[in-house]
Order: sequence, then structure tokens, then C-alpha cells
Amino acid sequence: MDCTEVKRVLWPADVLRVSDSELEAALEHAEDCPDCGHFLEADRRLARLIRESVPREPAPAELRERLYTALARERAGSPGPRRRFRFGRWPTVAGALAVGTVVGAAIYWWGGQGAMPSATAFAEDYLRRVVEQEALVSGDPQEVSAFFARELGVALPPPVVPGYELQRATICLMNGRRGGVVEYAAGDRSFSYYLVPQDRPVTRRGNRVDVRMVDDSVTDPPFALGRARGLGVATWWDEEHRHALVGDLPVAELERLAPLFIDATLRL
Amino acid sequence: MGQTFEELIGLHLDDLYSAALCFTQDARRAEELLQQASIRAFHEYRRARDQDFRRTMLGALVSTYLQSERRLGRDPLAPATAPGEEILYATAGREFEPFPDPGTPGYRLLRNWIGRVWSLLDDGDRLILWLADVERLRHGIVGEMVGVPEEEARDRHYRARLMLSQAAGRALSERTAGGAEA
Ligand SMILES: [Zn+2]
Repeated sequence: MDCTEVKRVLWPADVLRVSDSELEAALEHAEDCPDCGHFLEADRRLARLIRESVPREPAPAELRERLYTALARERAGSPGPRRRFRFGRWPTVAGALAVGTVVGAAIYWWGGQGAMPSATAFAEDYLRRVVEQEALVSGDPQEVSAFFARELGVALPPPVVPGYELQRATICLMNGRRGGVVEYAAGDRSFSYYLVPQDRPVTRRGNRVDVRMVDDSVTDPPFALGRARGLGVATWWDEEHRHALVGDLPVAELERLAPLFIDATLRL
Repeated sequence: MGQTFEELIGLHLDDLYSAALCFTQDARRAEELLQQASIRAFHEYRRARDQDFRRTMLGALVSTYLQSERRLGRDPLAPATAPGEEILYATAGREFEPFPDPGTPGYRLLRNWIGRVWSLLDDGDRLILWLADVERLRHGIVGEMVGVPEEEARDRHYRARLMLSQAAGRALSERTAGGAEA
């Protein structure tokens, strides 16, 4: 085997291959040949340089929004997968919950025209704040309510939360749907409240527990508590909206806060 | 855990946009390409959710890109530009310069230089370099994605690396020459 052949067999130098007699012979040659050894070492360094030199650009925010809107349109226009879980089957799930067999299960509820955002989706949006179209910096609940009425068609005055200050309101895009986000803070602690209108009325009445349960000692809370992406997340829904509280807070704190928002949203 | 297509695309979007930008070298076209490819991948992914999301999305991006180029009368993978293997490996030995160690100023300079040379590669070679070196896909898979035999994907990948290496070599020798004069 000459040097050209050895280089052909051993290139690219940064890829692992299955050993065979040809490879063994090439490796044996390269060990004693300075020219081939130099070639392979330089190639490994080059591969690393190439990976590190890659021109990278973050995707523009408008592209994200356009993409989600286009995908939402696709979802609306095409039938969904068979595995969708529907509300009509709620009694089965409630029964399963009661005996504690589905605790910790991650079952998604899918709306008739698209995916309902999961706890993870809320947590990820909280971390990345995927698309910010409009933001209102205000501590005035009435101003925030007017902002949402204008942007989402939902006039929701955010509740006053003892110990926290209302910071601002923004619009998010969750699974292709526009939703509202209200941010609260107290010192270095903060959390966000999400309100995402659903396309079609949810057939289930009232606020019920999500199947994404983590604490089986709570038998029938009106909301689901859990953690996603290292954040505490409480989620619940009513007939036309999906709601969530997300923050770097203990689950117990979210459990204390969620009822304030549920009371406010019951008046929607 | 079952993440939705939208959640997955959100997580990978910056990388996918960088890939589209690298293929097209044009921000507006990159955005159009990504939007068309996402819709295509969305339907493919819906048909078979056990597929690898990133692979599905990349495959859609590559085929949408190649289709749009061909509609414009260009073929980034036209056979005329495919290199011959004998030329490649026979000239290999001296093209690879001793590179500075990672973390040194010389290494950083070289990395920036190579970053600029990406745009000078042939469209087809740049496409293959991205898939093979950035996405770290095997030549067989790269070939399948772009529609050429595995050997050709490998040769083009080699040629692209060689060009970047030559550019790096020039940058190094210019730097050495500049240093000697100073
Ligand atoms: Zn040799």
C-alpha cells in the first residue's frame, strides 16, 4: 500500500470506521510514515477548524413568526395523526389518574385543529421568548387588559399578586397561536403568566387537571403542576383558553399563585 | 418525549437558518427556502413520527434548495464539476500545513480566515462540506441527500476541505512573511 492509497483509506481522519484488513494495513503504514502521519494530524486539525469557523446567524424573529403561522395553517388544512387524545375520553383518564397509574405520563391533548402547547413548550418559550411582536411595559393591570384586548381579542386584567410586581405584557407564539404573556417580578424572582386562546371551544367544562401530573398526593387540583426544562410550570385550561404559570420558582409557590390567576380567568 | 414539530423546529431553527444561509449565500432566499422546507418536512414528519427530526428537516432543506437552483437553470452538483479521485489524493501531501494549536492567536486568525473562505467554495462543495463536517453525516447519507453516489460525495468533501486547507496555508504563510518583515 503506497502513501496515496493509505491517505484514501484513512481520510477523513476525524471519522471512526469499522476495522477491516485494509484499514489495519493503512493504519500500520501511517504509524511509521511521517508524511501520512502529518497528513492525518493536519486533517484532524482542519476538521476542527472548519467546524469552529462555520458562519452562524440566528434566525430572524420575523422568520420564526412566519414559519409558525405557515405551520399553523398547514395543521388547520390537514387531518391530524390518529394518536390524538381527545377530551371526550376524559372519564377514562380521570379514572386512571385516580388509581395513580398515569402519574408522570406525558400525554398530549391535541385540539381539533392543532397541538395544544405542552408544559415543556411553555417552559421553552419562557426561556427563549420565541417571538416578541409587541410589548407593553406597564405595571397597570387596566393598560395590560387593553393591550390584550387589542392584540388578542381577550380583555383580561391580570390579577394583583401579593409580593410581586407587574412588569410588562408581551405577545408570544405557541404552536402557531398568538398568546399573551404577563411578566411579574419580585427582587431576583420572576414568573410569567400565559394565556393562549384555542381555535375551537374545548368540550370539557371547567378547569381540570392535566395528565402531566407529578404529585400524586394531590388528588384533584384544578391545575397541573410539574417541572420542565428546570422551571416550575402550572397549567390549566378553560373552554377557550390554555393557561400556564412558568418560572424559576418552587412548585409550592406556583401552587399558591395559580388560584389567583384561575379566579381572574374564570371571569373571562 | 413527544415534542411537536413546532417545538422541534424552534429548537433547531438557528442551525437550520445558518445552513440555509450557507447554501444560498442570500438572507432572503434562505428564509424562503426554510419556509418551504419546513412545510415539506412537516408533512413527512407527520407521516412517520419516528424519523429523526433533524435528518428529516435537513433532507427537506437540501432537496428544496437543489430544486430551486435547478429551476433557475443551475445545478450545484453538475457532473462536470465533480473532481477525479486520482487528482485528489495524489496532490494531498503538501497541502496540509502544520496548524497552530487551538486557543492560540494564530488559531483564531486562521479560524476567521477559513470562515470567510466558505463563501468562495463551489455551491455543491459548500453544501457537501456543511453536511459532512458541520452535521457530521456519513458520506453515504450525504450522497443520498444530494443525489450523488457515496464516492462522489466523499471526493467533493475532500476537495472542499483541501480548498479550505490551501486558504489556511496561504493565510499562515502571509502571516509568517508579515512577521518576518516587521
Ligand atoms: Zn505514507
